[in-house]
Amino acid sequence: MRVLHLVWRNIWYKPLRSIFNILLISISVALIIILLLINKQFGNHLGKESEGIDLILCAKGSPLQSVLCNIFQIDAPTGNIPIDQVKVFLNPSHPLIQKAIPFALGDSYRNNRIVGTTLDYFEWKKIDCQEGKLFSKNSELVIGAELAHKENISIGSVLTSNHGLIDLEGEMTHQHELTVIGILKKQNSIDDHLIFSPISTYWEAHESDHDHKDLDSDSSLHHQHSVLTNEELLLYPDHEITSVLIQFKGTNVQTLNFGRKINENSKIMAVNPPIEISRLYELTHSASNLLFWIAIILGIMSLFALIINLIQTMEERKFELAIMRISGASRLLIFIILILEALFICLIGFIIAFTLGHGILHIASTFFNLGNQYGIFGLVFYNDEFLLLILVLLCGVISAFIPGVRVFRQDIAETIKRN
Amino acid sequence: MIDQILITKNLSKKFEDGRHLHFPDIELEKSKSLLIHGPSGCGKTTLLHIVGTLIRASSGTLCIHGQHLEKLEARKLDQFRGKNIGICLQKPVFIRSLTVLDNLLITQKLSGTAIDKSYCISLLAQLGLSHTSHQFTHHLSQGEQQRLVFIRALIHKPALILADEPSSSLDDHNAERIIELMQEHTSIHRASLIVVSHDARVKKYFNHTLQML
Repeated sequence: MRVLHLVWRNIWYKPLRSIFNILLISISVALIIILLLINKQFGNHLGKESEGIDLILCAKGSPLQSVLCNIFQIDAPTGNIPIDQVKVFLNPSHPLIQKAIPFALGDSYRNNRIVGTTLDYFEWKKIDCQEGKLFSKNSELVIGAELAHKENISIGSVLTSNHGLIDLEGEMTHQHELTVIGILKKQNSIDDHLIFSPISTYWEAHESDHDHKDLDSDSSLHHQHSVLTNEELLLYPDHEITSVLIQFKGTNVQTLNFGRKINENSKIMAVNPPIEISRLYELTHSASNLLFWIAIILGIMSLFALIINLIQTMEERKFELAIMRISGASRLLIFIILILEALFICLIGFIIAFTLGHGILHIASTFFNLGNQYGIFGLVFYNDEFLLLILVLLCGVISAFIPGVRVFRQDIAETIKRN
Repeated sequence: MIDQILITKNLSKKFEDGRHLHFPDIELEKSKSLLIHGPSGCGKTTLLHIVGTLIRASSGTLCIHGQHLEKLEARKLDQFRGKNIGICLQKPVFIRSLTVLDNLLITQKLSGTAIDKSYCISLLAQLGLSHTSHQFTHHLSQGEQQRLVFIRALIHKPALILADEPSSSLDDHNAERIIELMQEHTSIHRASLIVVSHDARVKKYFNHTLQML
């Protein structure tokens, strides 16, 4: 017969009361865990995906939309820009620019985005194929590892793209057929969920549509040359792209004023991702702050409920406690038993909260695709959760303190007389 | 001296309301029984609580099993009580979340003696409570509860057993039975027994009686 056995039996002697306490703790702690996971992962996601991108050049519009579209691949492009207007930035000998990555966006395959770019993108991000090879001509695709797995796409698969980022059941399907020739290594980033093609494939697909419409009048299809590098892109100044991602060689006064000058003196827009991302973070942060405070209020309520429960329990068991004292238990041992009861309740509450928090987020991440779009997964664990456990257990000790002090002051003889 | 299990001298208790009770001296030999008899309110329960180390006397000396207890610090007093004294309260109180057997085992644990499950089972059998060992205590009849209180007082093999009005709520038959059981088993276990009672029915079972007025 151990004291822990007694503690355990005491908790479950009045099960409804204990379950109520455990539920209150579970709900508040689960909410805190979910918020913690979302904030941490979303923050990491924002930082990881935008790492190394100092500027986005695109059509004038919403800067935030531009960041969402070009970095996180979750919004529509602001428009197209002629290569002629950005050719100076695509020039490999630009004195300030380390890397310039052109993007053509706007097409998709089953709601998965097709990104038209050059081979510089893979070199910049240091991405290799796990199977097959990178594209070397038009109509060839390479595909992210997760997407290949999800859509069951393999080397040699032939896809037809949609115009637009949403699948409208074939209404806007391009006539052009695209062949998968490479599957990228898993990057744990947005790249795992994208389809890549040469930029010139975009042009070819759209011109092919026009040619089909005018088939009766002109049967000769116009075939684009394959554009695989920035140098080749410069040969087509009259063509359009969506954006250029810029990485500077370093930080100086010129690079700091680079975007402002473009915005003042050209028809294109320069967007500073860190500024827009911090704005985005502030927007989401105020919502998560609200939820956080709701969780804290719930937590305080559960702490009070636990204190009331323990006081009531102690009041109901005062004769039992007196008997234990008569049998030789010290005041300290009774105090410890009370603290252990509170700790057990808090520990069970935390274990349920831990399971609930991660489980709910895992299910949400799976069903709502949070992992792909926002980098939020359920089965990710942080050291902060251990600190949260310590905090919850500390609350347990605090809640046992008031009834514990009353136990300390209990006069056994007086209690027995009142029985 | 060592043959005396209990010696009290000039014990008194002063209460906050101004009452001041003086108690007669007691000397009780090992394995002997004593009845403290007197009307309600004469202070016999207070004397029992002083002897049981539940409250401290305002003056006088208390010596149990050769140990002077007046100035023993609280923690050591708890340990001493757990090891040497078994107390049967007037109204049976048990740990409701535990079964009969677990109540006995936790008493052994709290008293600091070795846990001896077979001893618990044998005592339950001796007092006719074998069938209740896995029941919760609130499912027992009043007579069974009274016997269980006594078993609990015996379970850690104390030198001195104190019983407060053990027969007051029982009918003649059960009152007689519980007193006989106490006499018999304290004798078997070589413990000394002090019973505090205002119940005239129990007088005939004791050779030594301390009358309080």
